[in-house]
Amino acid sequence: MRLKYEIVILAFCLAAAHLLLTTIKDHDSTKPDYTSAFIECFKQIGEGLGGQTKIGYVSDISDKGLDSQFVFLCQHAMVPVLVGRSCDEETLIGNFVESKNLKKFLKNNNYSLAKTFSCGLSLVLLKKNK
Amino acid sequence: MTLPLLFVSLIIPFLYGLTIVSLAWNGRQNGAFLIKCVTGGIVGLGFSTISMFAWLFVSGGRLNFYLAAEAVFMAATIIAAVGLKRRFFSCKPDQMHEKAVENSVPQLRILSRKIVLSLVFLLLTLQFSAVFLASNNSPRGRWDAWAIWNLRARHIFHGGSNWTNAFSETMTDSHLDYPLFLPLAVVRGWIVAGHDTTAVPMGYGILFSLLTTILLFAGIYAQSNLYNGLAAVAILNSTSFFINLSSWQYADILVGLIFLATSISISIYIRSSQPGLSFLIGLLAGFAAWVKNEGLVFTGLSVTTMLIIAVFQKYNNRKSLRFTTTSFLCGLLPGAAITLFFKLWVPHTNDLVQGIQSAQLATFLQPGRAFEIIQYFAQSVFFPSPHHVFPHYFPVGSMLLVYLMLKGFKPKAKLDYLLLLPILGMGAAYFLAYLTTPRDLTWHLQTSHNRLFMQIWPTIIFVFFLTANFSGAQNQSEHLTKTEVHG
Repeated sequence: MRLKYEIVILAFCLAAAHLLLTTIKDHDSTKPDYTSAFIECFKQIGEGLGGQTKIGYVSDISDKGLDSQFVFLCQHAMVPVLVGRSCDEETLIGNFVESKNLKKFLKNNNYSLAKTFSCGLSLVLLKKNK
Repeated sequence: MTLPLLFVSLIIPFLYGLTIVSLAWNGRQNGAFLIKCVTGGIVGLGFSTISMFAWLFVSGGRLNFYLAAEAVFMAATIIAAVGLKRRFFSCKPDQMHEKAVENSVPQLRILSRKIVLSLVFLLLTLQFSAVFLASNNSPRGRWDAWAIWNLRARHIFHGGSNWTNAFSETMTDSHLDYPLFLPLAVVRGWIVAGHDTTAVPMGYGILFSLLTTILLFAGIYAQSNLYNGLAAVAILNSTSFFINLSSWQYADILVGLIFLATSISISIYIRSSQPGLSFLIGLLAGFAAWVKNEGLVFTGLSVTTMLIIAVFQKYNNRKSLRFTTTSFLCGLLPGAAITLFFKLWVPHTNDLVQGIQSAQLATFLQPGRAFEIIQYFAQSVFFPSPHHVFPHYFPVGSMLLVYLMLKGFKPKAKLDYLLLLPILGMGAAYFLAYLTTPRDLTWHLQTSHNRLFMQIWPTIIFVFFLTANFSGAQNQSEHLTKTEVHG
């Protein structure tokens, strides 16, 4: 009985080690992280807008205010989608589109601006085909 | 800011919490120091977030001098706590229990103490590596991390005098009523770093995951034995979804850690009845409410559990009972009061609460909905399915259930059965929330059932090892050991 008890514990340890090692082995550091790319984009735009960064919109990210199904479709298609919100959304979206930082970001990261929504809340970026 | 720097920045809250916990509980049994360290970390960080929330109002959102204010707050409360300790708590260490636990440790052939500790360390190292790599792959975490928890933190960190914009009406879908333990802990890290680095929420994800494993091991080591502690660590690390969720930067791992810490403290309290320990249980139960709304339910269940224990415990006199109850309520106060204030201050009602309020009686009587919820959870926990929280080759949930069906329960203390109350109560609360959800039920189940299960899974493992019947395995080995020793 004592041996069975020890074998069971060791079997549990083995299963845990196997799972963890598999997770480590399957880790793919080259997998793109679109969320980060988007947030970086927003941060750069925010920095470019100087004083307005204090209102905190650089971090306003959510799927609200537009067709959420579209957001999901974009996500599944690995197209990053972000929605920015702030106290002054109309000004903000204007600044997004005109922002030199945004243009620079799009160029440097091989993105193109696919659409700005009429509600003034969102930008959709598409990865350009190389 | 690197991860080590985050851990260094937490030393002061950790030492503060450890002092508070050590003043409240002077237990010295196996694993007690580890339990004190982990609960101390939770308590220290919890008080830090409460002081930051207060500071936001006092300073109008200016965080420049927050760390100095926190140091003053911590020093003042430590002095007050030492004074209270001298005045009220003067219990001797629970040596009786210490001795009893030592006697119940079986000695095994293959698994020496050194091997067991080495295996625990190895699994912890592998866990760290797995969670770290997963976190590194998505430094912003998953959906709720950037849409709720870190979003709130960024608003507060960048907002300055406009920090209340974090609760703006324009973002009602961002669950504005969610408590602020995690966002404010992240803000604290960013204040130390000087900018909103992803290392902070990533670091917390890794830290809370590792602390859960360490606390589970220490709790079972303290209340059962070293070998079951190792088995528990292995079971938790065999839970594939637990490893995944640890890198998502959600609050579920943290709230699960606090549920576990509270349950372990209650189990120790059942055996030692130290009034200071009831204070610690109150603190932890209060902080559960300050992390997530599910924590509010857990707080209520902890209060109920403590009341039942008070009825069954044989106190020397009425004064002792009153003193213990007062200690528990005093402990409950910081977390519960700040959560209550926050809920009153934020003018948003939780969507699920609205759902329950507006639910018709007919909703509760829909067998189809109830069946779907039960089926979803059963498939996740017991049967291989796309939503399975365990690896298909190692169905841990089914294995524990089969073991219980075959061997039954045999807790060391009858009151240990009370530890099932928070688990069953949380299960019933989840069920009720799904039954009355205003959202699409299938979508709601898909996106949250596994996270909710992870909140109580570490506690389930702990309670399993405390209440399951191991007499066949361990008592025989004890008997053999004694025979070997004496023969």
